[in-house]
Amino acid sequence: MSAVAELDVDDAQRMPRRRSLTLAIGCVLVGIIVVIALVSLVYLPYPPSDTSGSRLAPPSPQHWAGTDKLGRDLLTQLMIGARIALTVGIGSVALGAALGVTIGVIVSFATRWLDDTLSALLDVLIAFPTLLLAMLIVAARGASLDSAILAIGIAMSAIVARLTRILGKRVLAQDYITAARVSGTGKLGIVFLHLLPNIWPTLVVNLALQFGLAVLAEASLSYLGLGAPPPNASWGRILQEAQGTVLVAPVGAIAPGVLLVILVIGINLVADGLRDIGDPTRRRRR
Amino acid sequence: MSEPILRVDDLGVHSSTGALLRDVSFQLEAGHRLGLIGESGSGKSLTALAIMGLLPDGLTADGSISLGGSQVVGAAERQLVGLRGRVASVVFQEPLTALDPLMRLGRQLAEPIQRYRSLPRAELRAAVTDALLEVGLDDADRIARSFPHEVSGGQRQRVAIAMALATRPQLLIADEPSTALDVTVQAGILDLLDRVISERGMSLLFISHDLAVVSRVADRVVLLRHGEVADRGSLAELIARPQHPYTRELVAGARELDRAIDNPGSLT
Amino acid sequence: MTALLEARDLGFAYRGRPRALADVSFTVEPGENLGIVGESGAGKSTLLRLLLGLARPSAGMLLTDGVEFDARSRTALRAHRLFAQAVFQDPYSSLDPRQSVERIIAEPLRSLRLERSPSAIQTRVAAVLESVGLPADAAKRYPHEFSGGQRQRIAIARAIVPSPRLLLADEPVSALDVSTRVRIIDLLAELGTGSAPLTVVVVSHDIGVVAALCRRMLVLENGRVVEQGRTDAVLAAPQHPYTQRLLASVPRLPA
Repeated sequence: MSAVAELDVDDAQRMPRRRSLTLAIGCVLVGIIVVIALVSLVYLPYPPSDTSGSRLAPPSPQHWAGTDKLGRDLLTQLMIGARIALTVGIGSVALGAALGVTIGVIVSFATRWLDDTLSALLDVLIAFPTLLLAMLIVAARGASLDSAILAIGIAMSAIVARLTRILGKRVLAQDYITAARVSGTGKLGIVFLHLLPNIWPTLVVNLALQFGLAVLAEASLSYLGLGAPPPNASWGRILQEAQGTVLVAPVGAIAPGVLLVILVIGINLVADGLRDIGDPTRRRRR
Repeated sequence: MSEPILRVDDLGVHSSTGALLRDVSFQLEAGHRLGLIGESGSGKSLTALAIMGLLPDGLTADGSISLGGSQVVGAAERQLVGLRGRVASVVFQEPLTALDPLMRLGRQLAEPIQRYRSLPRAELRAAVTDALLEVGLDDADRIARSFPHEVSGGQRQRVAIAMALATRPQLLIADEPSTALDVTVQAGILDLLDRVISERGMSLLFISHDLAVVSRVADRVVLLRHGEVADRGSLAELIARPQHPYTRELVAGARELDRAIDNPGSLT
Repeated sequence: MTALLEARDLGFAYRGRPRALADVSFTVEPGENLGIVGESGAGKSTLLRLLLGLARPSAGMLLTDGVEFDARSRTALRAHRLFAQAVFQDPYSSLDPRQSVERIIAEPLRSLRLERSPSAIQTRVAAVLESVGLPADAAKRYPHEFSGGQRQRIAIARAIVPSPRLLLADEPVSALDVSTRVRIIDLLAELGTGSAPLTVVVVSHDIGVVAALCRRMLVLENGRVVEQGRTDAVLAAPQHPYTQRLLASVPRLPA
């Protein structure tokens, strides 16, 4: 209504152009890793457990990235690592989102003491170190990709639930929700017709960021030996195995880190670029 | 004739996408009152901000604003600080956001008082009490000790007015000061403004969308529409004999609701 | 004739708080618009929630067409939704920004299962858009493309599309520009006298709005009805001191 409000709309007109560039760069970076992962499904330079190469060899025509301390081709390992990183990312985000959004939506309808209790429980879960959670799950189920996804997904769901709750409460306070109730729409209808569509854009951005955090979390877990065991090694494990010999064979330590950085920065840029897309108020201006 | 306390000549305010105010000119003599009437998007609040040199980043002003003899457009922040409070003060619409929620009202009021004249502690407390009494807050001690959320909207606005008056300005700019308040409280605030302005011989620039409210405190008005001056003159004259089509529309709307009070159920 | 709506000794208190409403009684006769006047804290919003079945009274009862209304019963609630609809104060938050105007207006038709086929819904939406003075192509557009006054028309369209007999308007014009207010008030008056019988209950702090639209009015102060009667009588000779103070505080145009 005021002149300042008019300005916000003007800014939004200008911003999409900057956002598209961010999104484009992000997509390219993520795309590089996706391509590597997809290729790894149909072609690997060497079988994963092949230890025929000489140990800690520098990059050569036979081994483009060199070999690790057991003689395995490093490029093969990195490609598999890309596949694992994306699997963990997608898997844990899917779990975290499904669980977190459901819980968050339920809690956003809760009032007063029920809300306080559930929010406190969420806070406890968020405060619980992911690492400890991972160790508990690994102790129960053994170290594997699934265990990592489970641990990261559960930890993520608490954060997603809290975010969903805040966004949900803001939406539920709007008059159009009251109007929907008066129109005869039931709680379920309100969730799917009004609540979710209005929190979706912010949630998606946050989930994209969580994707990046999940990949990093898995790398840390693997580095500590809690992730997928070899030969299906992730970048974290490659890093861990190479750290002792970083001065002799640096590629093994640097390459996984570089790829990790490319993926995570790419995802963050995508998240940034996604922020204003899908919002009808930005699509057209009157 | 003395220099008007406020003189606006061809004021324009621009953002990167266009002009928000254009060719706005009016003046206010010392000790007089002027109403600035406009609906949303008319630029009335922007005018108030421009006069105080408080335009947000990204907006530029051109033209001339002479406040107490000093030029505001293009003036450095240091010069503007000297004008604010001393020459002119502002009271805004929403006292909840104008007041610091974490500071007691007495302390917030003490600050502008202290800026005007340095006082030792005991005298400062007495000055705060006096200031609160002057704006009709008889329960001065309790109010001074309270936080903004602990008092009513009307009381908050009275404190905001006291703060604006503490520096003894020559001009008070009131931007929709009573719009957010209940009707019975609004009457009290308007009475207060009327009394205090008269008592101190101050000038008043009263900004509002409500013709009836403006008529309580000012005789002459300037009508803004889409960033331009649409009409101006004596309020009584504009209401009785509106010439400009926009004025006619505005007056007709206000009249219809006003008449309904004397002639209820006229539409049904 | 049975009253369209009757409030009998309605009372309401939030848990652990002093009563927001007490001993509120009034009737709404078909065709006689009622204005509910009060300032903040008077209990207007609470009363509105009770009238819409969004909350249950702590005391007293509500009758529609002479029958007690129990918001707990799902069938009664559905029937009530067909009976009474609402328009809210803020046109900027009462429309879902992510839904098209057509979906917004059609929501009561879908939720109350009044129409199923897309073509029938489209026809009804177009008809109701016309009766609120909006072009048919508005249906495909989104709320942010409309001004405050137009949004309020959309909200009114949504409220009348299930053909309710009672329309509750909560400060319907307070958030609008002065020049727009009269047009919306005219629209509400017109709808009240249109083809389908519609009685309007206006809740407002603005006596002018109530005076323009309502044959009868009541005054709320601190959760109680302090005065009620024919609008012209109450405004010409207010009995209760609060009503007198309210009337005296209203800013009037110079004669």
